[in-house]
Amino acid sequence: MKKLFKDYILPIIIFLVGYGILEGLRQAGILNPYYTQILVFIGINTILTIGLNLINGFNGQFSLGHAGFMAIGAYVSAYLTAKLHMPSFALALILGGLAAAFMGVVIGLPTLRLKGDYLAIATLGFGEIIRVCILNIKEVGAATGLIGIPKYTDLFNVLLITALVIIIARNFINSTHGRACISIREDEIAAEAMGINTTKYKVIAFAMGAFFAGVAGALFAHYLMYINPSSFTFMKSVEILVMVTLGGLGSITGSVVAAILLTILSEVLRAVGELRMIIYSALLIVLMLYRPQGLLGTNELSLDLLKKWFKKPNKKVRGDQSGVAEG
Amino acid sequence: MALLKVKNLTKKFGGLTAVSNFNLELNKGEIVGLIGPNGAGKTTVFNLLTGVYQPTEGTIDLDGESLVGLKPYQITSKGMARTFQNIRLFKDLTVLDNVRIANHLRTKSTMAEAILRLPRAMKEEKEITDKALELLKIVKLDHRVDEVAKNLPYGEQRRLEIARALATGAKIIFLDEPAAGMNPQETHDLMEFIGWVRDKFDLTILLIEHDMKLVMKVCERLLVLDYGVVIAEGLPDEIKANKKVIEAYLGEEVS
Repeated sequence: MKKLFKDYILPIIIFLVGYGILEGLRQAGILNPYYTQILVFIGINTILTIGLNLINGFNGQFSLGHAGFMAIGAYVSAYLTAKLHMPSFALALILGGLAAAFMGVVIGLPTLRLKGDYLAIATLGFGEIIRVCILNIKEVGAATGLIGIPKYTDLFNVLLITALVIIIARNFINSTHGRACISIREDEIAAEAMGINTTKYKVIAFAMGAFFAGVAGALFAHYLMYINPSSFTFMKSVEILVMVTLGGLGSITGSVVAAILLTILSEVLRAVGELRMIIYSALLIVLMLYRPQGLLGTNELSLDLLKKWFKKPNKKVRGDQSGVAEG
Repeated sequence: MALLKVKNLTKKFGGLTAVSNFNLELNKGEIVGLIGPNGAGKTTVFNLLTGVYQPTEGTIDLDGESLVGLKPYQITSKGMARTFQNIRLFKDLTVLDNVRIANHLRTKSTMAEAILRLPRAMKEEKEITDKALELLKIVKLDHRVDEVAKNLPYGEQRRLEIARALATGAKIIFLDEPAAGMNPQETHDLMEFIGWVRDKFDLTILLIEHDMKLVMKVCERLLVLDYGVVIAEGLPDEIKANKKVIEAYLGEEVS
């Protein structure tokens, strides 16, 4: 009963209260459309960052093609709703995610044999191939982009999906399957010798990351109502990678924090125009010099951790594996 | 009947024959030592037995079932696990997680069950944790449960690596130079530990070691490898007196 409350009911309560506050602020006029838009992008970036963190952070595989998966999700779902007039946004989202996950498996099976830099270059190539392919498909608007996408994305469903992604990622990481993924990051040879099917778990992490990216892409497309290939360049992959690294490779909480910080930061810096990228880069350099493991390293903020800090400041308590990343 | 039966095992790397016609029979409950000079092919034998390399020729049968062609993780699931010459723990994970990961191959719940936190997955998680804690208690590492593996003293890291191999549920354990880099006291403790673990878990152990004191005391039978060929086989005392072995490996006593 206590487990049921903690795993299912508590997250729902937290979500509803959180959303209620935001909705109230919006009704009161404090949360204007501009702020709402920033919140939507925070949600989308969080989903992207967690997806990439599963691959780069938890599984230790260096992927640079995340924008490619995002593009697949965006285009597949947008094509379904805009051209085929599919009425169900939920179904379009899932199909967009599945299409990206399918590509993840197709790309992952051959390329995940590669390690480190080689894998990075292979996935980078994949991302570019996707973009160039889309650029040449007339059916989805080629370079002009795909127009007439219905505006299905709103604050509510973005936040809902973000919360779901956080919970799914957390539950996955804290299960025996998630630990199998982490063991591959730690030492692939030892993992295999301890009975972990390394190929299987590398592909699973890759497909899951791709699925999240596809869903994020679908949300993105149905928010802007227009997409074109230039939204999914290599720079987009780098942007997501920066968020993952900043938050901490292997920390879900870190991904959330980094997505929030960097989304807001890039909005704030919009005011200084050309200087924006310079300040942004300088901040990153400073951070990497002083905190190379990212803001949170591999730590998670959890209810148990907070309890630990407050209750027993001197005694070490083993964190219950079920309470990680409630943030 | 022998538990593990290896026949005519040969491995060629291009023109180099690293192991040739290696034969081995491991009986249940034995501790057998594999010794020989550096580069003799001892670790290659381990890598062949655990599926890291595929043999050029020869057969490996565990309980009458062939293991040739299986991947390392499949071989581990059949009941053979190993440790490494240069310790390969999951360094940044806790001692508990190191052991829990080795339990993975005995789990049944699916990923969907784990993500939805359905009762079966949660029950299994608890079982894994309990089993890991129990094992850590047995190997006297329970005071280190939450410690990150890389922070453990060297001797304890070795012990954790053995515990991790045990957690896979292995019947046969291969130890690759377990005493490498240990001081005499640690080696002594390890020696007792190996014998004790064998009795406690009903294990069969094959170990590679350069520390002759340990080998002669712990092992019931020895195989000596030189240039990929077994040059002698027998009881520790026989090996000590064997001319060929002295020449190739042990060296003459200075008189």
